[in-house]
Amino acid sequence: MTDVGALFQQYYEPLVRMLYRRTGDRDRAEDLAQETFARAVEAPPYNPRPWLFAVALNLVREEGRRSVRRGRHLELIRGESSASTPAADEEYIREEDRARVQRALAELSDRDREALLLKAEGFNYDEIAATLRMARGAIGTTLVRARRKLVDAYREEEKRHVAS
Amino acid sequence: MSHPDDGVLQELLDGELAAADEAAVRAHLASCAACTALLEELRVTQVEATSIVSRLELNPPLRRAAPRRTGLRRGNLRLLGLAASTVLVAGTSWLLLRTSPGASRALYRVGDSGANALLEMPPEERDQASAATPAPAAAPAVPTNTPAAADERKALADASPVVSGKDAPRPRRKEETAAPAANRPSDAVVAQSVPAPSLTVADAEARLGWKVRTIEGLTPQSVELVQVAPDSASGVRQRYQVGRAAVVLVQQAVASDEMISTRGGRADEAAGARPADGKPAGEALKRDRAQGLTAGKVAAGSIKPTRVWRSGGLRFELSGALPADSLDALMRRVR
Repeated sequence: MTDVGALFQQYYEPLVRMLYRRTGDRDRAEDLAQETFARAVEAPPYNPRPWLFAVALNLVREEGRRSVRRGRHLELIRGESSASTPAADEEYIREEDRARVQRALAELSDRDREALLLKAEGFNYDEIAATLRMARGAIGTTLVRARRKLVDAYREEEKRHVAS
Repeated sequence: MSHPDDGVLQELLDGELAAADEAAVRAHLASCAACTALLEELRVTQVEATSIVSRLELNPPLRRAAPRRTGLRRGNLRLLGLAASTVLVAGTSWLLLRTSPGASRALYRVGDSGANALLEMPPEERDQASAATPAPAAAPAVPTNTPAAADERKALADASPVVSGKDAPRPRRKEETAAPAANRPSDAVVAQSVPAPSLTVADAEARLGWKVRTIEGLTPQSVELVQVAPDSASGVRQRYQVGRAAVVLVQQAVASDEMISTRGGRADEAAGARPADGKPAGEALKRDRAQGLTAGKVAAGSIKPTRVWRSGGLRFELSGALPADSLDALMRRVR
């Protein structure tokens, strides 16, 4: 019997963090994490960590397919929230850096990016394989490729930033 | 052994190699400068990549809930130690709102006024309401020539008191107009509500201390405070009549990290998620919706819409017995 309350305590924050890194949008990340736990309430998972992260990543991909409609929706939220909270300079600089990281991450394929983000949450290879339905033997190569690509893409972003 | 590939060296770095494999790779590394250099490159890349990813931290951090014992089981949701608040959602849905430790703990099943309104209509009206067609996706008052758009405009006009005074035909049932939503059975379990007729939007704003948004061009039929305790209004629920359909707009002050919710009404969007165990994740939600709706024998496609969005510290839910596109059009008119 899975105790969803305990799962929430344990995995909500890592799930939101992973989703935030994946989507670049914290509100969306929280919404998706909440949706994920709601599904866990409906069907308590046997192997919770891979299950939760797999459902969350599926939700992200589904959302991507509905991006046109969603875009309108997010525009509404963005427009209102940015007007009400002007960012301090320091926060602005950090935000710029986060945007560079997001752009660099966006250069990766979905699978590479997801493997990397799961590793960042402390997943071992077996868990990554289970979550992404990959062969365990492919994880090492995937992570090498993902990390190289990320580092290269981020350096490019920094160069662009310095030049501008 | 031959030179191990990148993946194997990465496995070594991550401590994922089986003991025998690791011994073999290490033996090779001891005598191969190229592989040792490659391993070092991978290590540096790994450190750098980790540092890059870690810049995307949650800031401000999520507030952690106080540890508590919970024992959630299927069919026994009350054991989930989360206090609840009120949100109206089409179909069947849950909102689990955490409050400070010691606050009353309960979980409320939240019904759906919009759907109920439809279920309460005489069959012929229900059919008409169900057949309501989507509004154009562009600006609300866009003139188009389609009959669908004309219906939608008429529906919106009907709901506006300016137009609807005497001559507009409004074949609504009496309780549709008169009964405060708080008296509906499904609402009775939700929270204590202030009787609807006593409040205006301005009253609600005075009580809540923040601006209450309304649907531009429409006047709410009823305004109720949403309360989880007698003295603590946390939000406001407005009920609008749009043509023959009831539309409910709930807005509620929330801390963004204090909420878990599902939207049964969004089953159209939920369908298709497939977790690793192969079970469609949307299935449970779809099933819930079906259970909620089949009793009234209303076509499932006619009720689903709920729109949820968040702005600042406010959460909005707009639900009603309207096609999704019509609800989207209304959502864009929330000011």
